[in-house]
Amino acid sequence: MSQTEEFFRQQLPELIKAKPSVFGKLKASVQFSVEGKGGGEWAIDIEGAPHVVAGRLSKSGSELRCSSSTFDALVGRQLTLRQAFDMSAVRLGGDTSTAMRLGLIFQPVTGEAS
Amino acid sequence: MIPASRVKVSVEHLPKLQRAVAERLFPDQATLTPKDIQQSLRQLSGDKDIETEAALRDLLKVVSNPGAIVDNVAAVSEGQVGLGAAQARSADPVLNARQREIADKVAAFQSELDKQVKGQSLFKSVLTGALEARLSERVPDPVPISIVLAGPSGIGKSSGAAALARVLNDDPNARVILFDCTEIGTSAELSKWKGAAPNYVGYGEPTPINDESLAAAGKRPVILVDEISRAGKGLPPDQRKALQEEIYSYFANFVDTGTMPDKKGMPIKQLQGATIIFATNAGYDDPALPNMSVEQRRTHYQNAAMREIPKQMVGRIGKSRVVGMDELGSSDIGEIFADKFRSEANQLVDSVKAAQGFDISFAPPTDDLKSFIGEATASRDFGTRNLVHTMKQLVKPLINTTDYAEDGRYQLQLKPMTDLERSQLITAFQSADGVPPGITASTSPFQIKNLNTRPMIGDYNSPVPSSSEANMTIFGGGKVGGRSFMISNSGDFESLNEMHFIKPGGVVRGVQVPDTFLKVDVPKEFAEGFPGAYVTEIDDNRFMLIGLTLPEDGDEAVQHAYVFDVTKPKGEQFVKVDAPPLALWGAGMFSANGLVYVRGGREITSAVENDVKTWYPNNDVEMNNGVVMQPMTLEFDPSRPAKKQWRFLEPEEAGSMAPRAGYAVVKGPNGEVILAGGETWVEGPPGTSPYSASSTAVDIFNPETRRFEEGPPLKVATAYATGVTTGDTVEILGGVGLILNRSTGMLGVSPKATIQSLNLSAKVPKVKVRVDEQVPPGASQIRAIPAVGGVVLGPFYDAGGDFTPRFHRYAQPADSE
Repeated sequence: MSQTEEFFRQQLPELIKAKPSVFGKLKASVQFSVEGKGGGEWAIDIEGAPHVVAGRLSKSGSELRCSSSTFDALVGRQLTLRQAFDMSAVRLGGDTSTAMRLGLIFQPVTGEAS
Repeated sequence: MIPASRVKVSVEHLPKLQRAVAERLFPDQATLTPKDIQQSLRQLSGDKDIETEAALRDLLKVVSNPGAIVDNVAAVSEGQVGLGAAQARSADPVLNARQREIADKVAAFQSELDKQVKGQSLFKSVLTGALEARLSERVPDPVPISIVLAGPSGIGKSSGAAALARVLNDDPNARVILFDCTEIGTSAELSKWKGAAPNYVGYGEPTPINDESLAAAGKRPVILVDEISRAGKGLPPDQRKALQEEIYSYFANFVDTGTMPDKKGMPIKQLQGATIIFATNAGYDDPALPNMSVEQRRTHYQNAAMREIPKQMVGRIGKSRVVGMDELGSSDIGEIFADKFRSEANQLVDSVKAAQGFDISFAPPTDDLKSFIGEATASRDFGTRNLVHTMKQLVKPLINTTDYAEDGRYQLQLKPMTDLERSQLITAFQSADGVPPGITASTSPFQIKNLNTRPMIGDYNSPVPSSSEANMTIFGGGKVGGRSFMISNSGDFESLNEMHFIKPGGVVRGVQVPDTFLKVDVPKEFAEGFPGAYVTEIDDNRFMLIGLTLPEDGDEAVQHAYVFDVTKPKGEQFVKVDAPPLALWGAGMFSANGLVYVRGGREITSAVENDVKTWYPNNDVEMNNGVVMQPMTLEFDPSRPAKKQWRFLEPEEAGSMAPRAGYAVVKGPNGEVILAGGETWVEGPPGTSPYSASSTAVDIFNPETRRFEEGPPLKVATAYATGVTTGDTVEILGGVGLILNRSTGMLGVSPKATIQSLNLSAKVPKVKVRVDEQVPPGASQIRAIPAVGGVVLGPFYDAGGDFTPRFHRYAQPADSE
């Protein structure tokens, strides 16, 4: 399993589960296109409750596109999403303001404050 | 010309040696004539005081030469004695070449002596006289110059003899021939010096005078008969005195004739022209010493030595050359310690440079420490030898094991202690022979402190305006109307762009009150726009804010610009102004002289199909944010009419610049603006793809010339770092090293936990770098906000922590332990 796949299959679902109030504010689904070795198409679908799906959604509000090495750097917190955007290492589509806030998903998973 | 017979010389203007002789032999005369001197020479006839006779002859020469007198009088001003006189003579243009050479050597000797021996003016004067007499050949070579130095140990007798050997031989490696009397316990042991006969104890062991020591002693040997009063230490007093007299007598023939026999009874030719120095501590154990004045102690030591020396030897040596030395005062000892430490520190500096490749330096030990050392080791029994113990046992391990940082400036200090602790420690040192028991390098009262008061990243305990469920970003900040402000976005999926004033906290009625963040209304289109902005102060009352909207439909990006003027009524403070002609991202924005500049960055476009396809060949949607970096600089002038407020700088104004984005922008201590590092294009070899990479380039905008100049390059290539200035220090914090392949989008990135200091006021501006664990990888895109008590940096996120952003202070650390 690549780092990207591991992120979408394990870490992100755990984070969404741990931070329901954060992801509850997401107004539209987000598409991720990670290109290159170990990449793939993934999405956070807000239908019902926010959850991760593999593949490409028929409709999304925002899109984040980058190479798998960039995505690995984001997951590894060597780079913030803002930096990656600054250096054109990621491309944002649709509702870019929401896409820009996706840096949230790269935070470590901890429980929500009560 | 004045006839020589009529010349009169003012005594007070004579060089010290001649003056001393004149004052002794002509106590009632303020002036001297050649006739006076000739008469005294006749009276001296038959006297063994060769030095005085020689000085008188020298004086006669001077007095008989009107030209020299005039120059000498001019050069030797009132009150100038000792070294000053020698230096004056050295500079005298009338001296012939030989005289000049001698004067130069004497001056060099005095200088060397002053470095190695504190105080002791009489001792230095006699040694200098010996050197001058020898060099000027007033004392013929076969006749040795004999001197007795009397005083406690460790006050410079040995080092003075060593300096004399080096200067007499004009050889820094020349050594004294040492006769160490502490190794003579009985008269039988004097055979150690002569060389034991076959079948006797000590046969075959080296004697003080041997081929090796003679070779090391040079052509003008200096013999040191050291510690005479410590010979026969275990003997009863009368036998001990007899032994000491025997030691003097051992050298009696040499003092008389300058010859000493070798093992076969043949004279040792190399000893011709030697100087022999007897060093004695006689009288050091007199209980009355503590109650004597300095002058009384000097006389006491001289008299004690005269009693120790056999009577027949006193006449041979000459009473004037039995010198009672001063005990060292605590301040002298402190200075000697500082000298010894400097020597150690210099060696360490060299070794660090050789091993680590960077410079460190040492400031002189603190006055407090010197005073402590002086008081703690001013023991008449051990003198400066205590210092050697101290250096070896307490200081050397400390300076050898301290971790040194590049460009560090260090100082040996006394650890903080109460007066009582200090007093107890001094008593412990005074009563110990060396370092008191129980005190080791690790428990010593000394410490090595780095004097560089570099800004440090410290705690900031005030709550910040972001929930723990957000991913806060700070776009910038500054001061306006004397108040700190911050432009940010708290980062959750619904948050707006915000502005806060920072109200400083403090101690109120003994309670620490945190800083508070007071929200300020911002224009709606900025608040709801893309979470990002440029911010720069224009002057004390205004700042400029540029926001961005990236439409969802793929239309062109829209920038909106405002000038915030704190002097205007609330609600009217944001004044919309012309937006930049290009929507740029990753540019460096700053202001100077009321104008705003935007340099470099990427042009944001939505219809970037070709560009996007270069990066992502499979791309099939409109994506925002551009790729191409713009090598250009824009200038904004708020005083120009609308639609004309922006202009592109001409190439000669903008200076040469490669396409760059992601600078650290910081205003320097003198108003200059530093744009450091950033990301730049690098064209690969033919046939390969270009890529972008972090840069070491530094541009400096000079507000006076309004031109960009090339600054000293960073040592570590970094992009998206933060610049901070506190006091005179400009520092570039963190950032990332990156390599981004344009064709494949492959990224290599390494966070930089470095602080790079720019010294722009040096003749050759330079950059120093240190790896600093206080700069975590997460600090690669922090922002600096000026605030009360220094600069506030944020946001930081703890690795493994939650979303809670933390701020830190970046300020001069308190100068405390």
